[in-house]
Amino acid sequence: MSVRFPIVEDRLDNGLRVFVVEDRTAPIVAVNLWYDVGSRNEQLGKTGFAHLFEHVMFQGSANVASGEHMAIMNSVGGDLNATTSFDRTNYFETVPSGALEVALWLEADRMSGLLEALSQENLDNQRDVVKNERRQRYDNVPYGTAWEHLFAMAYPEGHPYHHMPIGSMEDLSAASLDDVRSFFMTYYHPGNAVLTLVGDVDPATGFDLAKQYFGWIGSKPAIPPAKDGTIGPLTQPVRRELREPVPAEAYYAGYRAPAEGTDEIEAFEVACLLLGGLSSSRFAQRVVREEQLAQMAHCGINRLIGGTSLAFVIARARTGASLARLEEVLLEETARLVADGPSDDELEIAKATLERRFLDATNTCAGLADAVSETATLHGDVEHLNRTLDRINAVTAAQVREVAARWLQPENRVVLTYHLDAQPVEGSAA
Amino acid sequence: MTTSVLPRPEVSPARPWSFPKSTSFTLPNGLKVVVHDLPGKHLLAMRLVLDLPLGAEPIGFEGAALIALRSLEEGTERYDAQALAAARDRLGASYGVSCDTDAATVIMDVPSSRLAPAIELLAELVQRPTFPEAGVQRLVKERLDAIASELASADSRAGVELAKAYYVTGSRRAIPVGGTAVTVAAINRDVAAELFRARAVPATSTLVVAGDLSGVDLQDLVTGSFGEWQGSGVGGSAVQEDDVVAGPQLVIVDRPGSVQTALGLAVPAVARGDADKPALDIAAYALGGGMESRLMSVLREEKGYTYGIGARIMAERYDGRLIISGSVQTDVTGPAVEDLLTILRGLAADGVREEERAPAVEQLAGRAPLQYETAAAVAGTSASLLAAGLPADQVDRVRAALQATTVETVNAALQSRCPVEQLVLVAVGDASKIEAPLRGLGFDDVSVVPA
Repeated sequence: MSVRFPIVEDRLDNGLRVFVVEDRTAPIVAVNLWYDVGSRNEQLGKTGFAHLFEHVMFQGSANVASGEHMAIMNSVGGDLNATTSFDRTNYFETVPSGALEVALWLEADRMSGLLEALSQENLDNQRDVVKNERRQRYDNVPYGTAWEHLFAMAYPEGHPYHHMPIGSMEDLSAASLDDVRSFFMTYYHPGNAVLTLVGDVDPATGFDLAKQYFGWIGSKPAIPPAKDGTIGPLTQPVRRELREPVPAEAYYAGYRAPAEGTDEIEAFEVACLLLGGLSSSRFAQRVVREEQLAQMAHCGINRLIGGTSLAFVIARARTGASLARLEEVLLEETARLVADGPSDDELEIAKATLERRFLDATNTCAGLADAVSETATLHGDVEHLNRTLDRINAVTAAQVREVAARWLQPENRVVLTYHLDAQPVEGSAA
Repeated sequence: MTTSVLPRPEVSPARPWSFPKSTSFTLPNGLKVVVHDLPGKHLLAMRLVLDLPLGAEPIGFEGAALIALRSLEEGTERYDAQALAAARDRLGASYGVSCDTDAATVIMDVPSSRLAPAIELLAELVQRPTFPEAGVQRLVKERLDAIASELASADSRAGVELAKAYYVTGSRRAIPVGGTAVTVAAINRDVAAELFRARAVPATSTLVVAGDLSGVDLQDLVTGSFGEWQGSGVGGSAVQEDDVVAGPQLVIVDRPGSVQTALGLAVPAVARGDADKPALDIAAYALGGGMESRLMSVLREEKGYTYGIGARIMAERYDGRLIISGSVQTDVTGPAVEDLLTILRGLAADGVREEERAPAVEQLAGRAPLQYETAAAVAGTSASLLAAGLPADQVDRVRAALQATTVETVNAALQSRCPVEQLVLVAVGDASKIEAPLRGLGFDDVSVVPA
């Protein structure tokens, strides 16, 4: 299957890059803004700031009252949200086409005039909300802090991916209004953003509207480059054992992996799928169906742009199964892929699944808009998106074996194991 | 920097939209096929709706429907579990099963280029399952582990305990869809096979297909794959049960060390097809639909007690509930629940205001074109309307009804159909910290579930 989205590009004088994909299927338009700032840009002692800032962006701007952005979008039948990750902060709304201009006006107002509405009260309130977000997603959930452990173990202190976007409670408490101001001045300006419109709008109209609503906003200096996170595989395994009130014992492993955009990434993605990303994956077949050691066993990759990605294996033990044996079998299956690579049939299966995932991810105006903004922000050349299926189809069995051998050796792992509260920690396999 | 002089733009009227129309045909064996041809939607969606509601499960074996459906993947006459998994993956299919009080559904989405083999695989799964003993036993054990996981999460525990408190003991709805540890442990391959074979028959099943079907002879494909499907089942739909416990009632579930309290609250409301349902949707939206709702604006945006708390009507075929759910910080649980109850009672007493009704209508009716952008969303709703016995144009009818409301009709429905004083509230949290403040809120009927 060949998919080629008609992505049209323009650039405003103030540096804002604008992309339009016309799709008249439904009377709706997706508006998507990526700012090139995420938790990898944060400094020690200021973790969680990019995400806290994202919350502040909904607290009003020069011509918009606190909460009004959401209220307006909801009242026109739109959807909206924002997310913060390691490599980005994105803001997006999907609206009936008649509300496109008001969506652009709202985004432009906060890109230009956030500081005019900033108050200590709003910051304090959103700090409490974010702390409750952290409680809800991490601290009050079984295995909730596993990712935080894996990233902290896989990358040394000071590395851009050592900490999670949610940040620490201490750093959130310390965030000040001055931090908000300087963060806004540094990262939130047209030259550090990408605007994408997908749906019921033609490129000429889209560019005119972008110019009308964003063109007057002044430019600011380029952002300080994020620290280079380039780092090779671990050479010594790192282990941490936790005893917590979890419902089942569990094995989590992290492996440093090729960065997004490298030649190795697609082959590595295939390796992860074949190990533990499919219904028919080797892990599912062996540890879930055959030996029944695990309720589930997954392998995947957090694709990151800054010199490394983090691959993971997550397996939750079946009641009564040995966690050590589970780990041993997972390593055996990984070693088998490293030694022999995939069969032709497996390769075909992985490619079919990756094709479906790509179609899924770009199946809505909002999904495609986010993919375009992501590609433009991380790769510059937006045609990179249109070559996704070509890259996937070009992966060979030999490449899969090579990347697996380079990155997925037992000594390349950080390992986190969860043990039931009341039992002694069992002997662990090396 | 210059300050913007651009005034806030007006919103121009939305282009007309309606829920995608369908056509249908029926095979000689009685299988009905409903087709939504959606040009440009190349990720196709299939929903096979089976007359296998939760009410069909034998008493004492609750969870059997889910086990029976999952067992389809464990083996058919032609393929074993690994071959079936590989066949799905080779098609790039996303696959799943679900069941509720109306029906069971087998879900498969595939790229349009692989429609023919996907229909064939779906037919194989449903027509020739073998329910292998070892596979079913494994699913039972996995389900038991999954139940332990669900109970360990504060949010899902709140949902489980809310159903248990809200519905009378013995009602199917007092038990989770996937059953309890006791009922699941009783299930074996014979229970699963018998349930499935009695209910999954062509004459009472419907296949919904949505997506870009240009150049596809669907009738030919479906006939080729499902034409030989035979069987006559027991039929009959689940009957309505009068199974709701009258509140007010407070249940505190101890979860030592919990840094948040997960809340679940239910109040009787109306059925999915009820003429008052759109009005109650508006009231629920004003209460806890968006960030500007009464609950969110106080509990999150003013006080910072929560990351999120919401309200909505969860309606089934014969009745429904107003549900409030969310988590609040442990040490403010008392004041947060007090605010929540004040807001709920205030809404019931004073009703919604026009400045709440109008945007709620725009959100609930206006976002339909966004909501039904994918073939999967269209097929899912189409299948679920069928299973609930509602008309195919229900989405458009509801949108019209939403637009026709006034504050008077909304508040009349709220007054007469949503008795908030019968509320059942569940709080899952650290009882050593939350029990005393919650007991201070004036509930006569309070129970505590120990850790």
